[in-house]
Amino acid sequence: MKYAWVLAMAVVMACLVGPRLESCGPFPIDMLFTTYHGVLPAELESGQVGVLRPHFYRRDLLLAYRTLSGLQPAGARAAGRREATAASAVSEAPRSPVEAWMDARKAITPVPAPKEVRTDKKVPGADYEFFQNCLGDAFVNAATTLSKRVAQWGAGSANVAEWVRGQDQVFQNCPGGEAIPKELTAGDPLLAADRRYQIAAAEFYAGKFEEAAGDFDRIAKDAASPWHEIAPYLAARACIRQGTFEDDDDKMAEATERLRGLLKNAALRERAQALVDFVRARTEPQHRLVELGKELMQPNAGPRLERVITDYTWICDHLEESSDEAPAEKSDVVEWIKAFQAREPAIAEWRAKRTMPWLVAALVSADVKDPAGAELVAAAHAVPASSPAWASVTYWGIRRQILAGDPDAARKWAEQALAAKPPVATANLLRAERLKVAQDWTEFLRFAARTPAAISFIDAENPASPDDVRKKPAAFDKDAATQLDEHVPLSLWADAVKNDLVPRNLQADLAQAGWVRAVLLKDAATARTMAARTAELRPELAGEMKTYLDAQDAAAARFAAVFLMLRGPGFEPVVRAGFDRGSPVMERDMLRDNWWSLVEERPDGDRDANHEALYDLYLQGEMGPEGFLSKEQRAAGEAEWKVLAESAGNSVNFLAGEAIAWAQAHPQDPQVPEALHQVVEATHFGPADGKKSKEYSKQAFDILHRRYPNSEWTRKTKYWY
Amino acid sequence: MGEAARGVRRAVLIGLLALAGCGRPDPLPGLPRVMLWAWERPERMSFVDPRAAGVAFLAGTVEWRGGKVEARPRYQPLEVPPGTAMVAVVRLESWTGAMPDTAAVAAEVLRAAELPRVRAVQIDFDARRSERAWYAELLRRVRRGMKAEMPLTITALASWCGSDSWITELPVADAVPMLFRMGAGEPREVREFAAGVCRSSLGVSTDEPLYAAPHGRRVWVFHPRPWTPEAYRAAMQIAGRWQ
Repeated sequence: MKYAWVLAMAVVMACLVGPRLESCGPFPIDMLFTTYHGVLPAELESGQVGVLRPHFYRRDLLLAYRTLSGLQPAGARAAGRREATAASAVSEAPRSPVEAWMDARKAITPVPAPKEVRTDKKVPGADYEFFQNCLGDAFVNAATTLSKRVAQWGAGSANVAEWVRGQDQVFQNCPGGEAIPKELTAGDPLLAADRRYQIAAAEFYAGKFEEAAGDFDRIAKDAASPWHEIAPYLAARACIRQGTFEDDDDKMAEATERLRGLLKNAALRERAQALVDFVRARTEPQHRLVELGKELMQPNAGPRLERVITDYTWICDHLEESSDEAPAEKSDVVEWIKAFQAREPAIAEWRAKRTMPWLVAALVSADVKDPAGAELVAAAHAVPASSPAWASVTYWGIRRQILAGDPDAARKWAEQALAAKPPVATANLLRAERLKVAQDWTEFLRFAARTPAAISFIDAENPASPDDVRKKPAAFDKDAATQLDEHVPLSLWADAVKNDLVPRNLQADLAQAGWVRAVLLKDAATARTMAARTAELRPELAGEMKTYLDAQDAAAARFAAVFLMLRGPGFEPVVRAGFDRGSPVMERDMLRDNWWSLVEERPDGDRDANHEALYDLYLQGEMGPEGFLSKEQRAAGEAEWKVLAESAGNSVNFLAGEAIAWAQAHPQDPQVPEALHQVVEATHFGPADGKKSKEYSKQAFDILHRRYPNSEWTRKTKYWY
Repeated sequence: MGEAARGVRRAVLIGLLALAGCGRPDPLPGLPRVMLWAWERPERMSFVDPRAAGVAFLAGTVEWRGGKVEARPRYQPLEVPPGTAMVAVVRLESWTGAMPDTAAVAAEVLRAAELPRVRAVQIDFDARRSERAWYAELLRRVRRGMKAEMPLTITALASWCGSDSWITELPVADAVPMLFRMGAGEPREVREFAAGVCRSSLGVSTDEPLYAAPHGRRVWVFHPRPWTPEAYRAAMQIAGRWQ
């Protein structure tokens, strides 16, 4: 039983931390107030594109351009959006073509089947890069052909056995090779034709592209072969593979030539055209980009739209490496995405074209000092709320008014926009704008809170689920939290904790932090008010708060508060942006997010990714509005912050100092041994700051062991830190 | 307890701590003190100084649904200067349903060990509590299948490196505590890890500052975008801070 408490603690901590972290690691789950990468899937489906931002994925910008141009929404699927939801996670993996082939292969023939078929092969010349050598269609085709041959020759026939042996050899080349089946010079003519096809396929997968193309060409000329129609297409594919691996433009050109010859064949046209597009994306990227821009704007692009978007993004991703000359013709979408992503001046384009995409781009990029901005703002005002461009032009238009020094207009516009009840992510951005121009405390409270909008998981941003919202129905973003922590006086905190403009869960956060704050500032009356409010809003802390409220005098109350804070590592004098601390207030956090430190500073230029949207409004990175407090209120708030930072900036040293002083003055207090034990613990699990904390740790340890050798808390305190 | 007895206990404790990690020999001998994670994206890292940094590249991903295993090798190019120390990383993804046969997953992991010039294998798996026993078995199987002289390492959630002892029983030379992308409650102040196996490395990211961490460890650096010379310089600066 000696280590039972260690085990119990480990179990408790593991239970607390495990579920929260089980999906973390390199790919985290995070709560977001708006999206960074793109439009939320539900918005895409409904024809909305939210507030477009320059760092959105190109896929999203392409679809947004289409939607803003008046075409039918394409849906999230076209955006290639990975929807990492619980629903997608629980679905079973579909049966793969390889499995379908292996099942067909095992069920029918007595020839021993290979244990597995692997499809990936190392890229020639590369050590670590693989490519998918054998695609799914090959296995589907093999299974279908086997079924036909069994129907013709019988499952136990020698012909089927020979066919399967040949096909096994073909697929041996998928990961390795080379394994080329032998030609059959006698026997069934169909089997011989199949074998010639298998030989060409094996050569293809083995990387013998010249031989494969030649053999496919010969099959194409053999009208009796069942493969003569598809063979020219496969010969072209052999040229493409050779051209790709050997970086041979001539081979790519030859492939294009061959494929163009197949465009007249109705059965092959679609596949041939897809390969032509594939080749041209690599050989003529700039020209192909222009073409893709036009294809994107086809009203009924249908399933082809996904390929268009994939090709477009592939070209953009690789364009910097290309030396291809710019095309004579320009594509509007290409120019728009380039300008929008780089925030290039776009007012001239807007004036010339008067389209929604260019209005958005012009609003994003316009110099706030440019008088032409008024023209853009007027145009943005004219966009109806039903337009998919409304959220973007409204947000960027209001931002322009704020930065141009027209806060009255910005306030009015933001409130009108919020009255339209936009989706959560858009509303959060508009509330941030409205907060930026808050004129008084009431306005600050009205617009400080945000609603969780999205969950980021791997590279996807999905809407926040009802469970996520239940966990944290309202939260502060960094603009409000920074102001509350560093500039708002305690007297206003006392108002906020009972103000109906503040969501109840945030009232609770403020009351709990406000109690700590008031104690540290030695404002006993406010501390009592905050404690009572905390008990009311957080029943789980009611008992703890009662111990504070029941204290006999001011000094005892102060020690009761210090003692309670030592026992509750979640207490801190600040409110946080976004998520709360993960662990309950009265429990230690395994990841050492315990107590507080007000003296840490982020390195210069470091941006907080979770609150990234606010940097569009606060260009210097200092978050929060300035005009909502009177000069006196702000001075009072900042003076309080200074006192907090100077007297209790480091929680460990503050709490340790207070507790040790009490212990020395009140050695008979039965709570002293536990308090000293908690001091030592805090110097280990809290933000200790080196020498000073070590001194406190040793001092508390020594007093404990010297004065209270028989206390259970002394027994629990084996070391100092 | 007397002063002398306490002194003896302290000396013993210091000795144990040294054995547990403080003074333990480098579990990955021969690897540079900085390792750059190269994830599944085209990475052209010719600017890396092989004397200063090695590359831990995503060599493959193994995932399973309902016990069915699917493996993907690396599909993206990776260029490094000659002589770069290489560690093959295999990412494991568990979606749902029954856990697969560890033999099938181990076989996929072991393929990574066979890649050219690979000096160590690292497994990246955020095992849930219910998956730990399975993971331990997998690691034992992989360890048995690897050459004795090739180290096996894992990435570790920071919580694993706390007082939770399960990680200490794993047959791995090194566990890299991942001190980034940890969501709510992230440890902004980490001074030491209880588990000795976590005391040789730190996992950090170029886009997330780390305010406090133990010094003198091998630093594994993640970069959320393709590596560039600028990102490389930043990574070396970050790593230097914790050396």
